[in-house]
Amino acid sequence: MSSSIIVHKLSIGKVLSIIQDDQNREKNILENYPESIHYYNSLKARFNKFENDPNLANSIFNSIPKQCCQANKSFLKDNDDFFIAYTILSKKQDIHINNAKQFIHHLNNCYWCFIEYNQFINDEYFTNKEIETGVL
Amino acid sequence: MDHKRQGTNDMTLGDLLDNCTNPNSPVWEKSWQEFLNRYQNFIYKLVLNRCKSWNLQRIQCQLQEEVDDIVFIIIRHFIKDDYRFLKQFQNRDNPQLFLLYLSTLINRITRRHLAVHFNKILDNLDEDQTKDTLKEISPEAGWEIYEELIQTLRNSIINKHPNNERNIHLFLMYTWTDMSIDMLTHNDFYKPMGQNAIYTLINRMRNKIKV
Repeated sequence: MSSSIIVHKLSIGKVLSIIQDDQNREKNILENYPESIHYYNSLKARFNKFENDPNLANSIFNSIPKQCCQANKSFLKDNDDFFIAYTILSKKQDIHINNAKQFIHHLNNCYWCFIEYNQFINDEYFTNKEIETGVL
Repeated sequence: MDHKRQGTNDMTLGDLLDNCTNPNSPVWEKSWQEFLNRYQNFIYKLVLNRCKSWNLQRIQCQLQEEVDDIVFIIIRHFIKDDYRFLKQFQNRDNPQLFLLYLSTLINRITRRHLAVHFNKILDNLDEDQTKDTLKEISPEAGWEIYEELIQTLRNSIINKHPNNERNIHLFLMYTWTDMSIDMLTHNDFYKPMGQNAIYTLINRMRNKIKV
């Protein structure tokens, strides 16, 4: 009998969810994602850097444009730094639904970023659920 | 008769537009025949391609009817307000530019027609069916519907309020994707709102669209 290893890739939403896991199960989780370990470590280093430098996180978050992006060049596509800044600032409640006006305005104006953002929220939510229930 | 036909065939774009926009012209009817000979295929093809690009199953089922309806609306637009659209075209010695001018109108009318049609489809569906229908459409069509929906929502809000954009965003997060209110409030960014407030707000926005 041959055993097959299923290789998954980590998305930014998944990574940020794992980084914030209180029970520190990242080692176990990362065993399922051997191809993404380098990506994970690099994001974790940036997460720690941004956490210690709120000004940097703020300036990245505030760099969001107001108008719509081009379809294949949306601001949020592969913009890991933005999602790290978003996660850190919203965790501290520096930004939230009632004060991040420029961000909300951009999402309303830009379908392409809206889709990227939705994907991020989905990934983060379901990874959290998987961690909570022990699926991961 | 052949001579007259020959006459309209040879007409320059400027003459053709002049004759089509003047019902007192002796060649008004012939000019319209010539206009349709020249441009009907172009209009049809463009409308057809636009309809296909939406990739919406319910539109594909009755594609020919949809295309016919839209072409009729476009031709009616040529006559509207004393032929305003045709009279407004200035570069009468440039047929290529006229095609471009036509295509902007065709795109605009087709887009509006499809969006209205799409909204009617959505009105008759429950939330799960709406989300399934949104999954059917192509990214480009999604983009157009999204912009149309945002515009409709912005227009439906009479009072300017700082939270309007926020409310529109929450409504779209809930209706456009598979996002539940629990999913939203699970995220720190949305936590300050609370589930009940989001639920009330989404219902209020939904009623605005139906009106």
